[in-house]
Formats: sequence, C-alpha cells, structure tokens
Amino acid sequence: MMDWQTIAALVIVAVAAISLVRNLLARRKHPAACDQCSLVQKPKHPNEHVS
Amino acid sequence: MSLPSPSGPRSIALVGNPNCGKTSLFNALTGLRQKVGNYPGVTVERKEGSTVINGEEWMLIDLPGTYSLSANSLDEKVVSDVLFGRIDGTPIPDAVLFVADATNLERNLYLLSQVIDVGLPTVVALNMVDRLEPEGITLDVPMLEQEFSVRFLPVVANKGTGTDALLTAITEARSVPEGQRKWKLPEKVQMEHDELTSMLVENDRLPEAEAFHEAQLLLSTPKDPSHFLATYSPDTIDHLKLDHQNLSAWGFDRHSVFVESRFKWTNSVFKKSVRKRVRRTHNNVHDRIDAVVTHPVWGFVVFFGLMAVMFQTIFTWAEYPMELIGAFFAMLSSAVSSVMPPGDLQDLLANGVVGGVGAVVTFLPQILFLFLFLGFLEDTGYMARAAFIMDRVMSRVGLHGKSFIPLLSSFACAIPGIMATRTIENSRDRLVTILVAPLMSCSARLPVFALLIASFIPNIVLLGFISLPAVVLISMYLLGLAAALVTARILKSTVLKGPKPAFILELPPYRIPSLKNTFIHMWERSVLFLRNAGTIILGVSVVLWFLATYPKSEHESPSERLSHSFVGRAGHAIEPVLKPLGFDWKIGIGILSSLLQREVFVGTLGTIYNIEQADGQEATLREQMQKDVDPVTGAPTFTILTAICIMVYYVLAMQCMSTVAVVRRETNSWKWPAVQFGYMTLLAYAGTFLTYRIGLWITQ
Repeated sequence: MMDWQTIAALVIVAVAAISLVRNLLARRKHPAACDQCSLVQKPKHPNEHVS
Repeated sequence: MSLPSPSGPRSIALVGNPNCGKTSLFNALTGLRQKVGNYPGVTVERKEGSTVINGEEWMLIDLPGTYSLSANSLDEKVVSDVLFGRIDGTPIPDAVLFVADATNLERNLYLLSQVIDVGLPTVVALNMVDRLEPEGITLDVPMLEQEFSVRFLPVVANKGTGTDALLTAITEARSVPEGQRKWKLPEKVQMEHDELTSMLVENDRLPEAEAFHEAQLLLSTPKDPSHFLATYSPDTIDHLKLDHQNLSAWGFDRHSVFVESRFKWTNSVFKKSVRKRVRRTHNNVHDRIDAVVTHPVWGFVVFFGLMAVMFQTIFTWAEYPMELIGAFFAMLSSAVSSVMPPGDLQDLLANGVVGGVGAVVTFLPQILFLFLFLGFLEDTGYMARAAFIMDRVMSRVGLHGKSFIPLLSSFACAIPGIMATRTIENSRDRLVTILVAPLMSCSARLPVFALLIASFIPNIVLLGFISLPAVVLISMYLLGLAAALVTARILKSTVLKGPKPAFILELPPYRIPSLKNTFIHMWERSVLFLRNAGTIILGVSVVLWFLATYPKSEHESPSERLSHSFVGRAGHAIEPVLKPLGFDWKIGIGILSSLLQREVFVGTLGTIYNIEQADGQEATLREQMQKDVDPVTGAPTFTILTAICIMVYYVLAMQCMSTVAVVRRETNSWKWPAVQFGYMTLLAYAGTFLTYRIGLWITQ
C-alpha cells in the first residue's frame, strides 16, 4: 500500500514526463529556446510565411 | 494608389538600409523590445508589432535592412516580397515607413527611390538627426521633400523623439503618382522597359508597380531569358530575348544602366540637399581607433585582450551573487526537509527539484555578465570591427567575413546565429556557416564550464593579471572557434566547394552604448533562462529523481541504491562507451540527459548527487563532486583532466535539440541536421579521447 507522499510524487513525475515529451514534440516545429520569436507578440512563428 | 487591407488592422512596413535604426524605431513605435545592435544584419526576418494612431490600430512590420530591392540574399528578398504582397496571407502594406540614417543619406536615397516606385504611400523617418550638428551636416529637408514628393520627418529612434508627428504623417501619406517619377533611363532603354512592363501587365497579370520593378530585373539579369519560362508567358520571354539583343547591340551594359540612371539622379539630389562642414577632429578620433582595432596585428591583440577582460570579469563579478543564490537554494532544500515529514514527496522536492533547478539557476549571474559584455561590444560598433579583422582568417578557410557575424551571434545562442546566415547570398557558404555555427560556445555551455572550472581548476593568477580559470574558459571558447574554422575549411574544400565571394562590410560609426537597450536585453535573457529552468530543467529533474530513486531497496546505502536504480543501470550500460574518455556512469547520465540542451547536465548532476548524499549531510554540488570517489578503486571521479575532458566534449558536441530543429527549418531537409549531429558527436568523441590520452601521458 503506497502512502500519500509516494502517490503525490508519482503523479508529479507523470505530469513532468508528459510535459517534457510535449515540449520535445513542439520543438520540431518551433524551437522553444529561439530568443528571436519568444519575444515577439505573435502566436505564429514570424518566419512561417517566409520559409 | 492606396490599397487598404481586406480585413484586420492596416499595416505599415519599415524599410531601410542595414544599421539605420529600423528596429530601434520599431521598438519606439510599438513599445516592443526587439533586439537591436550596432552592426548590419541584426534583423533577418520580418517582425510584427502594433501601435495605435488616432484611435485606430495599425500593424507595424519590421523588415531586414537592404541596400536595394533587387538584392539576392534571402533576408533582402523578404523586403520586396512583402512590399509586392507575394507572401500568402500577408496583404500588401498600406504604407511604407522608410527609415534613413540622416548622417549617411547618400546611399539611403537609392533604396528610397526604389521604394517610392513600388507605389505605396511613403513617409521618410530621418533618424539620428541629433548627430547632424556634431558631425557638421545640414540637410535641406524642403528640397528633399520636393524632389522625392514624400514627407521627411526628423526622429531620434533610440530616444523616442519625433515619433508622434511621424505616425500622424503616415496616416496622411499618399503614394507618388507615376508621372512624378524623376529619375530617367536613356530613351531607347526606357522604350524597351515600357514595352516589357506592358507585356507583364497584360500577359502575366502583374500589377503595374510590380511589373515596372520586374521589367528592370528581367532586362538587367545576366541569366538567359529561358530561365524564367516557368514564371512568365512564352510571349513575354520571346520579347525579353529580343530586348536583351537590342540593348546589347545599342551598346548598353544591361546590368549597370538601371543602377547608374537611378544613382545619377539620387546623387544629384543628395548634392543639392546635403552640406557637410569638414571637421577633422571628430573623424580623426574614430579613424585612429579604427587604425588600431582593424590593424592586422594590433587588431587581434585588442580582440583577445577584450575577450580576456570579459571572461576574467565574468568570473570575479559573478562570484558573490552566485554564492547568494547557492545559499538560497541550500536554505530552501533544508526548509523543505524540516517542514515535511520524511517520504517520497519530501525527497522529490528537496533533492530532485531544488537540487536540479537550483544547480542551474546558480549560474544566472554569469550568463547576465556575458550578455552585458556582448551588448556593450555590439552597441559600440566593435563587433563589426571584429568581423573585419576576422575576414583575413575566414578567407583562409574559404569563407568570407560575412559569415563571422552569424558566428559571433552564436556566442550568445546558435539559433539566432543560424538565422543570421540568411544575409549570406551564396547557398554553399550559408550551409557551411550553418553547419559550423553550433561549435561556437553558446551561453548554455557557460553553466557547464563554470561548474567544472570553479570546482577543479585552481585559482592561480598568471602574469599578474589573469587567473587560470579565466584562461581555461577563454581556451574553451577559442577551441570552439578553431574547430569551426577547421571544419569550415574541410567542408569548403570537399563537399561544399565553391568560389570565395568578395566581402564588403560597412563599418558602423562608434556609438555610446545604450544602457537601456543592454539592460532590457539582459532582462529578457534572464526571463528566458529562468523560464527554461522552470520548464525543461524542472521536468528533467523530476523525471530523473524518479529514475534515480526507483526501483527501491530499503537495506542499501544511498550510493548503492543510486547504483541499482533505473538511471544507475542505464549509466552502467553505457559506461563502456564512455570509459575511454575518462567518464564514469554518472557523467554519462549527465551527457545523455543533456542531449535536449546543454545546461541540463548541471541540473542532472545536482539531482543525482543530492539523492546520493547521505541523509543529514549538507554540501554544495561543487563539494560533492570534489569528494566523489569510485566505490571500487577509491580513485576520485573528477580530476582536473576529467573536468577538461567534459568541457572539450561540450565544446564539440551538438547537445541541443532546438538547434537541430532550426537547422531543419533553415535547410528545409533532415539531411543536414543529421549530418551536423553526426559529425559533431564524432568530433566530440574523438576530441575528448585525444585530450584524455594526451592528458594521461603528460600526468603519468
């Protein structure tokens, strides 16, 4: 029988793992570390029309 | 001609020569904080922001700097594509705000005359008018307005003065009627040009202004007309062939006749409207500085001297705030341990989260000082001089100085560096620069270097002014630069062979750095760094805590438990591959987890060592790494040689998924990012192996 701390820790681990995978997939289209676009007030990458 | 957008806010395109202050004006008008720099080529793609004029919202588009609308590099092509509405989903701008450097008007007027020919309502912002008086320049603005038939308004973009009048003028601007065009072609050329323009309108359905522009390009192109068969109708191409023959038979140089005719007129306007008093003292100071910083020998002395000062201060200035941040996280960790009862959640928060995130955030001050220095060097105009002196080195490896600006940008981050390669016209040169840019040491490597140097390199002062840690750090940056140059040389003489184009770089004037700009940029870097720490590093730390804690076995010591965990088993599995480099399994896990991004290495070690640490002991990551020994042999896990080997590995290895993604986008294929990842990983392995072997040979 797991105690509440273990359950809480495992839930946090699962959430972290899912968000990491999502972040990784998102980078294929839009590099998250790209300092050019993270500072632009625009949902789309500004280069999408150009490339 | 006024072309309102079908829906949404009306738009204004900012156009001008490189380094004339477009982005500064864009920031002043929109309240945004785009990166500006005192060297050409900072903006390589269009950027958008909005502003309100008389209660109506307008969209502003900041475009890359260009000298002409007939230019060929990718960033410059964006300008004509936007102005002629060739980009899907982007309507033709309703107005053009032409930004001109008031102190250097001669070359600005050429582009202005091309932009006016596009036929959009245009207003000219005469930027940097505050420097006219010190430089002894007087402008006859009414004369300029009369000749170009558009308004010229004075502004000082970096101080935000004159912007209100400018915005009002834009709303009132009208396009210049075709009949008022004042530059003239020779009669016969004009006749051929008019005929071709009409054909492009009738046969190819081009709008009048675009046809006028295209006709000039087609008549002056060195390419055979049949090259354009896919774009234009056969009738137009047949006519073009005839035009080429006629113009050559009449003795015209097809390429230069258009440039010369336009330039002759803009130059005559410049001479009538600009007066310059000769003030030698001011120029002399700039010239004297340039004589030193661009000197074949002294230039390099200054360059390396500045680098030495930069890295020395990064270490000394950052030490105190780093200790404070470290102490804060140590306190946080013990607070969590004392407030919560023992259990998995307490362990996850105290060791996994605080250990991992804290280890990385500690290096924020060093990152900030790096950007403070880079910001000052860019703003003063020194970066362009560095590119100039490096042109000699670059030409030896088959690249030209234009490639050095993207490489310099890569010291901050390879992603803007790779995007800055769009200024390079030759596609092979561009590709070579993209392939070697991630070898330049970016700011993500700094936490890795700083942790290892601070932990293992003795703090000895050399030659009375520079410390050994600073020398090691400079060596790592130089190793990256050397590896980039050698790789470029190999690529240029093998798979990407090509001629070396001439390099023309306009040296910008020296300017007092804008403190505001530098601090804004530093603030944004901190937000980005902390956001990264709060997302990627946090996520990796949490997952790593799980992998380093499970499967659980109650009757083992913390060190044995870690060794038998999922992470321990994976680490031991890859250890044989890393053993020849002098790395143990914990370093291996650090390398594996930091494939995502480099600074994850520091977070990973922070988490692993915190979990391994026996209960009740408090020690910093540095102390834990210094004390760590091999449980079998008793030999220290980290030595000076191991630390240097890890740094060499991080200088040469790719270890950044964002860069892979951006290379894929910029090269439009998976082939080049795969080649890049492969060659850099091999280079890193071979380089580290060699360093380790040579190190062992010296120390034994």
